[in-house]
Amino acid sequence: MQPEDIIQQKQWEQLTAAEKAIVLPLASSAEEFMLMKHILMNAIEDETPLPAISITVQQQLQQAVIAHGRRRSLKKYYYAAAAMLVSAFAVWLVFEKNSNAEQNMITMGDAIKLDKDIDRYILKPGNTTSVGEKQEPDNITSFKKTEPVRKNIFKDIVDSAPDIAINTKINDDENMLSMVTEVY
Amino acid sequence: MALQALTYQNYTDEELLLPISNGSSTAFDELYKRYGQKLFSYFFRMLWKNKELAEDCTQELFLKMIKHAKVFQADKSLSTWLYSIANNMCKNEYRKHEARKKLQIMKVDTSIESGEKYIDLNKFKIAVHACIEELNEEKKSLFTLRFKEQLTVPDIGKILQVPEGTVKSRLFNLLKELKEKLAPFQSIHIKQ
Repeated sequence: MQPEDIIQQKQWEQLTAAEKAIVLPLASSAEEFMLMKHILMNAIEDETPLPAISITVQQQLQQAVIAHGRRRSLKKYYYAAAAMLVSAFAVWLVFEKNSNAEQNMITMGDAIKLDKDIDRYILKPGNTTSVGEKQEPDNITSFKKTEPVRKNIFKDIVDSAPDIAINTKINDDENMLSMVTEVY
Repeated sequence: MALQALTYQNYTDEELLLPISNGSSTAFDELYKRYGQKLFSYFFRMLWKNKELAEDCTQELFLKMIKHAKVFQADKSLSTWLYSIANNMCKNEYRKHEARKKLQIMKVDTSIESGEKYIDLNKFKIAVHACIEELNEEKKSLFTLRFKEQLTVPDIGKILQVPEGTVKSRLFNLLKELKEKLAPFQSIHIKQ
């Protein structure tokens, strides 16, 4: 028990030896004990009655609680919408990447066929023969760089080797064709 | 709505926090009923009996509670948490009003006519309250929490974030200080 509790609850005459020992630092005599008792009794009471808190405080706080709840529930929707957007963007990215990879692919099997026909297009140095005529190559020393014959070259390739996995769509795209300058 | 209010009466203080943070004004009303006037009284006693300031602080405290309800740890006591916030707010107010506080130190009238054997209770009461008003923020807070709010020593330790032994030691020193200031009244009978 705390000394102040003993002083508040008991009279000096009622104290046991143990309790007197506890209160001794604050009250070593009956007079001191009485003084401490009066101090605590009067200090606990408020000097003037406490006013009541205004009702407006509660009303304003009620509004704040409701507004806070609304903000919290809206937040969840914002997070869900953001997550959906991120997922949709990720799916689009993956799809786009796969689509580009398919366009540029040439299969292994068709490469062999390409090799068989490629000798048609090997030019001898100084040879002005246009590409497209069949030649018997002696040595392949170097390739003479010529201006490719647009459209026709690809038309021949496509016509002669329909299995070659070259995307015929390139044929249709003039911008793509203009980018091709050499045939190997 | 009335049924909901009845339900919340059975909730502990800590259990009320969740519906409050979700926007339940009924749950808030229940908690406010338990602590609104109590905390207002604490602020009123601590902050120079200024009603408007006490109301502002009470409102601000509850707003902080609503905002930070999620971070409150369920194994702690809501009561000590609220008083802890209130204590810190009082400290801030005392810092702001330091200059004003110095001007308002009251001289405790403990003068007693020589030979006087009896003294009016009112005079003694005024002297006691003047001594309490003179206390610095830390001592006044300790006195208010212990004797006005009737909180236990362990709870006060948690609020002030000091060990229980420190609380007991501070209380002892506080009572000793009051006794020394009011020593002139020692051998006088106080007329009721």
